[in-house]
Amino acid sequence: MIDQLIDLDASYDPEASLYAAGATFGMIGRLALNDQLDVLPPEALVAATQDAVGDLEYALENLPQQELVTALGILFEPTSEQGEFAFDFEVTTTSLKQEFIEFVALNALNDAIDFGEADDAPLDTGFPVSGVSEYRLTFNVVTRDLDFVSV
Amino acid sequence: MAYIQWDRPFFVDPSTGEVVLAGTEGAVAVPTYGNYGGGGYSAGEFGGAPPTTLSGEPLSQEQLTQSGSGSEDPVDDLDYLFYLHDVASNDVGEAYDPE
Repeated sequence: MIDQLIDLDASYDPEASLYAAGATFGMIGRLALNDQLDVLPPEALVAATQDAVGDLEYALENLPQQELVTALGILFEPTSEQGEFAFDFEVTTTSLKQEFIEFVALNALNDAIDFGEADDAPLDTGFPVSGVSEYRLTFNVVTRDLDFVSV
Repeated sequence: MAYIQWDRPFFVDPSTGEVVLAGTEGAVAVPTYGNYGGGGYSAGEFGGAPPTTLSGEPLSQEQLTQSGSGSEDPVDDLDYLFYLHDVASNDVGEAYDPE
């Protein structure tokens, strides 16, 4: 399913792009929650992450304003910054292998979102020390810019 | 096109990623998409079964569109992917009789 979602070009419709991104992130998240992320080869994980980010960016840049507000209201929380919404999540690892997968996947996500931008910075995933790492995905409705940071 | 159904959600336990019943404590609402996108949602309804060939194989997108009622039509390519996933996830689908 993840391979098929990567192959699908959902840019025919911002809603399809948004849902495809959510489906991919949902499947990756479910694998992570059940400690099964290693069933995906690292290159597939990276490709899926990058594809989902591309779909998400396309959707957020092209959704009609009313649907954008609906989507942000459900998926993100408003922050203290004007026009900025955030989605916070954490990743828990208990081994070096899991920590490496986290490092690869989340740096792929970071590259896909921030590469070449002024706020591009290496992501601190805590590698190689396993444990809990917290991350924040933000979206600014004014600039329609998506950012990703470790917090 | 507006195929995300924000007002027709399914529910997920965020600690496990499993689909759970509405009203489950801590469950997160996730919208459905088209006629096949969503946990426990297929052929346009919760608990629905995706139509298949008599041998249980998935129909092509064209076959599905021609054979079904509106609720069995995949609304687009993404919805058809969800249909394929539904068929693969179901041991027994509703058989489609072309006659």
